[in-house]
Amino acid sequence: MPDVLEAQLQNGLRVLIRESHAAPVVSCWAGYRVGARNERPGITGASHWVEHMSFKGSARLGKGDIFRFTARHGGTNNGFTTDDLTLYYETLPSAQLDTALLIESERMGYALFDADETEKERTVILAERSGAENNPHFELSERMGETVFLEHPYRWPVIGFREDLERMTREDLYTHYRTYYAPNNAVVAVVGDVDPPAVLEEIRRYFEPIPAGGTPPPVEGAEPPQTEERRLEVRKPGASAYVQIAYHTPGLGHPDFYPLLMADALLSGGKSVSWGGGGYMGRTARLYPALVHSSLAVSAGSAFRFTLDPYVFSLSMTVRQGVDANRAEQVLLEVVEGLAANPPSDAELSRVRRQTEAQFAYSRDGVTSQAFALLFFDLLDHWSFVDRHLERLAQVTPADVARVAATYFRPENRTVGWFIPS
Amino acid sequence: MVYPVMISRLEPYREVLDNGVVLLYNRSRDTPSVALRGSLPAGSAREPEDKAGLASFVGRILRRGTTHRFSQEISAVVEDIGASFATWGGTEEAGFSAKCLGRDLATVLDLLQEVLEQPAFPETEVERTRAEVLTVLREHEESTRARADLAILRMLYPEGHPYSRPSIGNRETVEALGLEDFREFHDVFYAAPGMIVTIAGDVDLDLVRGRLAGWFKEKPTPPPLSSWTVEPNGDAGRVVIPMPHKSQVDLIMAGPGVPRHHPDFLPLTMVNLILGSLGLMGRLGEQIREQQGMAYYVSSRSTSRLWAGEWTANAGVAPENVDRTLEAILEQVRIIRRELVSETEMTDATDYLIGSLPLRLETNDGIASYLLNTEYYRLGIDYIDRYPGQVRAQTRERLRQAAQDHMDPDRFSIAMAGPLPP
Repeated sequence: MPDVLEAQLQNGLRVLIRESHAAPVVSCWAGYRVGARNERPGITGASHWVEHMSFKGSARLGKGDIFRFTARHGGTNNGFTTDDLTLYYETLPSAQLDTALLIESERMGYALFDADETEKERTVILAERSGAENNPHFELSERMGETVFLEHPYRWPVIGFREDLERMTREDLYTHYRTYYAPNNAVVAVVGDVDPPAVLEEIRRYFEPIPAGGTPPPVEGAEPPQTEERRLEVRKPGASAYVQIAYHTPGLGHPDFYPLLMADALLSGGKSVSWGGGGYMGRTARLYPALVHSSLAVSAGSAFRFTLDPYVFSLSMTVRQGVDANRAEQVLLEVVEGLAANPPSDAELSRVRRQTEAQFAYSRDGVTSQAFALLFFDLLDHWSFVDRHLERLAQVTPADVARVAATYFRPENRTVGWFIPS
Repeated sequence: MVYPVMISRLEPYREVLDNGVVLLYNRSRDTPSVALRGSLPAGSAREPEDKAGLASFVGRILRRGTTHRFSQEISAVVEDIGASFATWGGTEEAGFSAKCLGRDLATVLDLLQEVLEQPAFPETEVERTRAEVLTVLREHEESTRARADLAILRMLYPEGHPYSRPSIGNRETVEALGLEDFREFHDVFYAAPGMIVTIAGDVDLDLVRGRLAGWFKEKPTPPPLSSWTVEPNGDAGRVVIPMPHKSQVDLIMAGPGVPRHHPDFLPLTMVNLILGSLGLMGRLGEQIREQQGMAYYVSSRSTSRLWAGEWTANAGVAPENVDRTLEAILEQVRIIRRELVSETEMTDATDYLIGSLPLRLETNDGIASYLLNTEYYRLGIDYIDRYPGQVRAQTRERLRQAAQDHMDPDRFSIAMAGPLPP
């Protein structure tokens, strides 16, 4: 692992810089601890809308300049909003790093939120939501969120509810921006063909004038323990029966987190912890043989995410045409909940460790992926978290997997949502 | 025949092996991983229209059982070492790709050889694959975008042309495909002559050369690929696909373009960049999304393939905005045919095309894809040297001429699917 130059500016901004001279390019990421998790009814979707507005002009950049300046140098850029975080990046020829630093410092400190632009963006975001609604599974995902979480803000979709998007004001958005887009709530990560000390000086020049903000308010909505199974069903025109299942789980720092991550790999293959990776490795895991190879389903998978607050272990399955959906669900549950009585063999554990090791190597190919991983894990915990990832997985024993399966993969802790084509 | 070329940090080699396989290779030790890509002329252009989907089906099923191993045994070899590989059948070509750690390359090459040379087409795997393909086709029938795409291809290309249909086939033909079809197609068209393999990363050239030289050794040369060179249909058509349960309309406007080898490929690429791609979706994005707020996405692309090409504009809009969006797209086409693009736009497009090259070559997979593309279109191993000069040689007048010659609004076809009256 090459060294990371780590610094904190006087305004609280954390800075991470790593040299990588494999190609004459550099990737610059800026991330904020703000997402759907920091919203409340009435302003659901605000974080995502703020992300859109951050491209619409600032003190020194006109509307459209971010895309224009990046493209001009052959670069790529984008922004993403999740439940927890909002992330932005530019990847450029390394001589153009200044362009990225200008863009990200302007976004952090000086976005305008012009009133006319806010109104135009309202229709754009409503169109984005309409496009998502065209997907038959969108309604199921939205209703799953509201059913799985009764109190915690993970219950609303990142894009926001339509009625909130229709009513939210420019002031709501600007307040949200000023509350969370503060250097003390952000991390900047740079990886590429650069000289780290010189880059740090440039970052100071661009970012240090931005004043620190207040401490963001705490997230409200402690989720009560789930005590019985919850079920829902969406019937709409669609191609195939599809199910999502979610079990409540503990968060990142909990000792059960890594055993659950191992359970995910055992069920559907080792996965990348970063941008890109080596592709699907789940054909020899437990779900594929039991459901796809046995001709009950055309696809089946599991997912367990790194999040700020306790989230869920989730499963999904598209049922094969002509198969009884109840039977497919029963087999899926037997495999997952059966992990407790049927823990992994040493050979199974070894295989998913090798997969994870390879996925880790693939994720180091390219500066964009490396910078993302530094930023993402620093926003959640500390960038070095990812360096200990393989070691932590290696420490998980078959008994650990059986224990977490018995603890969390229980009927009273699950929510089952069906999409039934009508 | 080995031609070393020094471009930045790319040092590609090209060699034609005795069996006819063209090998392109770039070695780098920056990561322990390897990316491989391959192509051979066994796409849907080789299949009769009443067996639409045959080439795609064969591509999908290759890895699902050989004369030596069952599907799950193949997956076990691949996934035990954290590798991944895929095979598929497209329109012009069949393809394969793999990712692995450098130390495992021999294992992956041997398995790829077995899968490509000796597929067994086991009956259970045939039925499993058929179920998956039929599920994808049913999902396409429920997708506004897929329905509009299909309609536009039928309007652009004459009946029977491989570009007029998706390579996946349709429900009727896929349901009728049988074991003899797969065997015969594989016997005739899977062979070394015409095959291209590109590899990038931590590799041993002697090992790669030695392994690939043994591929398809006893296999006869397949019949030459017919030329499907065609001028796409010039008659404007309009298709409306009512899908009342959807929230948004996907619309496509498309007209004839040029094939990859055409002298106007580069000027038309630049016209399209400025019109609907560069930055946030070019002039179309600026007018329709940014100024009028009518769509979340509106963009265009210029596609140039082996035998023909097309220019396509896509948008997702509310039903009440369909006519305004179509008129706005047409207006931008008329302007770019009538007026020279600005000096700034010309510089931006030039700098984008040249500057984006190092980014495309940032990862091993990016390098392998780039090398495959240059060989497939016979651009030459020194293309990377000549390309910047070719881009800089374009003029604003040349772009306008290309737009006038190839983008005639009177020949555009329109397809739309969504909540529309019939």
